[in-house]
Amino acid sequence: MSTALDSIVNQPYRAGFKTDIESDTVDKGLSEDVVRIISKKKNEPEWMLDFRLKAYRHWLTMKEPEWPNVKYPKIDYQDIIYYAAPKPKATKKSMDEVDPELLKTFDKLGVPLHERAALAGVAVDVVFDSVSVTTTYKEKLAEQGIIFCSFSEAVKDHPDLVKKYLGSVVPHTDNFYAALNSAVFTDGSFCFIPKGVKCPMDLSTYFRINTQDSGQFERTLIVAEEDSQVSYLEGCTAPQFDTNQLHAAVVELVALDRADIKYSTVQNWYAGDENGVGGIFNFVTKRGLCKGEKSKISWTQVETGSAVTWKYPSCILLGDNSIGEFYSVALTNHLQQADTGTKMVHIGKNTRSRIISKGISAGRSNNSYRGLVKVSPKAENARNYSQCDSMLIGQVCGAHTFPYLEVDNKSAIVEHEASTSKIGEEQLFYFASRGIDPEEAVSMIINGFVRDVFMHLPMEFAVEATKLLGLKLEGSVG
Amino acid sequence: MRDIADKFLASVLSKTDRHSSEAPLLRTIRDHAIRKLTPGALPISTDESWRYTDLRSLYGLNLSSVSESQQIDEQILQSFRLPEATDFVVIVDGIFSEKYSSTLSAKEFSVLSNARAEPAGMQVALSKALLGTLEDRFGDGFSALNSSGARDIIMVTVNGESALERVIQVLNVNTKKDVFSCPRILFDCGVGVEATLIEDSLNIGGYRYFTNNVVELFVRENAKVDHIQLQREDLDSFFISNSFVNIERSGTYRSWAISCGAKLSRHNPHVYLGGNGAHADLKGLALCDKGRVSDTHSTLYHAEAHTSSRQTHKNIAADQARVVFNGKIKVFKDAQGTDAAQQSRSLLLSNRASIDAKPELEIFADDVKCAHGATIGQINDEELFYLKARGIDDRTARSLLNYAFARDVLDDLPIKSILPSIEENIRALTSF
Repeated sequence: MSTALDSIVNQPYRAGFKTDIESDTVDKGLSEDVVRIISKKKNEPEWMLDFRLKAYRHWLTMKEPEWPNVKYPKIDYQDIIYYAAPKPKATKKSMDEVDPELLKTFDKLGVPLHERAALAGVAVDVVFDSVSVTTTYKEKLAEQGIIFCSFSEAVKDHPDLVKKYLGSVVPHTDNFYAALNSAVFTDGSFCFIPKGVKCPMDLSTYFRINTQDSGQFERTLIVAEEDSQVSYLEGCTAPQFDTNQLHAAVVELVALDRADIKYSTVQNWYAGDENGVGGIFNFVTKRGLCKGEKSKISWTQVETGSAVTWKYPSCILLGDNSIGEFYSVALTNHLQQADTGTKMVHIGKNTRSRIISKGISAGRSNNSYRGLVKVSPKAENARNYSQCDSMLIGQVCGAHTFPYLEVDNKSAIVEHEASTSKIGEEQLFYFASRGIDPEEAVSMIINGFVRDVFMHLPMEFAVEATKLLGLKLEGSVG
Repeated sequence: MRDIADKFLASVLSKTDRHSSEAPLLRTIRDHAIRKLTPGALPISTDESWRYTDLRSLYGLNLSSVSESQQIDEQILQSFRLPEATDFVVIVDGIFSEKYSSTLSAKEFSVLSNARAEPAGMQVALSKALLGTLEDRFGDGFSALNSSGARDIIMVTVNGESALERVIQVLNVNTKKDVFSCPRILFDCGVGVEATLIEDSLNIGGYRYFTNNVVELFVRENAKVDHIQLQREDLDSFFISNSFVNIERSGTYRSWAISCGAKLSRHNPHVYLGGNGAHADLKGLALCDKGRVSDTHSTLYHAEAHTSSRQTHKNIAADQARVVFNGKIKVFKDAQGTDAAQQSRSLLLSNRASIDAKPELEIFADDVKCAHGATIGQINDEELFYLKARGIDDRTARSLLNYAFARDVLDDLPIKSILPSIEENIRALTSF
């Protein structure tokens, strides 16, 4: 039985290849000068440089967090390239102008850009190693007043909006990695949905980490004005490298009165080989602010990659009657480590939050759920329901749960449930006696286990994620 | 905050009463503990396991220790003796009081003391081998402080020679202001023996003091121990307690930890399921009002295969009280077939009260069944209405509902005579 499981899990990394494109990189290391160079290379205005320098100076006073339940070699922050961009070329209007090498990369990944855009009606803002290469569907979105562009463009074209919201949810003082990101972020996505507009299509960004030893520091900012609605997709794959790469992204969401933001992620970065060599360090700060009344922010994530994951997509429920949701599937295999979860901070009246977290650990991996539900003294009638289930596949992996419940208001109702289980012999026997082989049985059991989360993913993503889980677990059960 | 914790530590260590004639084993244990108590050994709020409980009010105290036993009205003492108790051990301000105790035989009981020569005999030899082993392995700064400062160590071995099922009540009384006391018990329940240990902590006089309690409890093969810890200290006092329990093959340990008193109380049960088929059943009840803090941090270690545990913890917080519950379940790599279930429920009676709950699971084996649930809520309006519709006034109805909430923990309490005192505490919570 275990051979079948092993072969499911031990499938090689399909997206592991590297594209040779000339890169324009800055020397390794971080200093005030490097921050200035990054800002200058990106032709940024003075206020942007000030923001970066303030963050950098604050970062120097901070200590790397040690509380997560993960172990990894100490990161030498002076041994990282903080800026890498494909050589600047003239701005492209059509796909024909895009570097053919780049297009080939997407082909290998199975995401033909033009096809995908046409078929799925998805506008893809491709971030290829930090600088946006092409943006599709921009014009169509612009008709409705929606701004969807790379962060650098937003700084240039919409400085007032960026100035108003940048750092308003995740201040540069927030945590070690957020401060680092604020100082050196190279690019990312900016999205603005004006009053009353329902975004006609799902917005999507594909991230790729390409240059070896280049830390990737993305910055995403999504602002949904009153009565607007948007669904945003983020998906990641990265080529196979031996040296650990640091990824410290910051995502900020702002929802004003009655706005609705849905943020979905499928993360499949290189996780290192079965001996834990290589792999991405994924230290991400994601936070949404439900600023207006009846606003809603919903996070859905499928975390299958990275050697080390440290990620807590959170919701600050400030507006009365606002809603926060978090749906997560985290899968770890081999020597992967994940410490992930969410924070729901109830501040406004009648705020509601819901947490569904499913952790699957296989191989020798460690999977932790860490979540905080906080009800502040003035949050009347707050309601929270959390459920976090873990599944263990194999005898040497670990599953951990660290939920923090802090309640300061008596009208609150907070519930937390957790369970741990494994794929039992009996379950497999049940399937076998109905003519279903163990491999298929395992995949069915796992798909049933994660169903509560996958049903919140947009359709195409759900299909991709189901396939991904199957690939990731190939050979680990049996 | 670090400096006041270190200052407090230095001050307490300097005031610990030591004797040139102290028993050699006591000296060894004390010296070992003192080596661990370097600056930084006592926790502060930045330590993860103390993030909700602020110790500044404790660290600000100027405490001293007592070297002589106090005279107490024997009648008052006897009034605390439970009718079920077969044996009665009295500790006054951390000092064993032979006068008031009805002690067990030398085969079952000995005291390691500051002032006396080391006792001898079979029982002592057995206890000596166990003493400090669990504290050293699972303890923290406060339990080490107990090891360094315990004046008298009560060592009990229940070997089943007596036909009577032993119900041993240890009454821990404080009588003086600004004193720190370190009651210390070693309880060894022999193979196949059933016994009950009751620890009852209270005060006479209504003073501010600091009790730093440690109990080490060994449940041998097929043994069954019921352990009741009733904490009804003065509302001005500080109470920190560590219980370390080791359960061997097919042993059963049941505990009821009831916290009613103290300005700041903290209870850390560490239960190690170290043998195949060992079972632990932990029940806890924290009743907290005014500006008090009640904190429970329990850890269950499933170290061997086919061990099981059940845990039910209930909190009621009124006024400006703060109740903290952190329940950790650790399942070791080889503990296949573990079955653990934990439930924590909290009732918030006031908007100025707060509850912090953190149920934790750490699992390293795959063939396990582990579940935990935590809820925080308030009295159900419909239930209240139901009672009122039957002519029950608001106050009585609330009191009834509180009592019903706590009932799970008290239902199977083997010592019924302590129930009225707990019920009185539950009733007191509603009068705000």
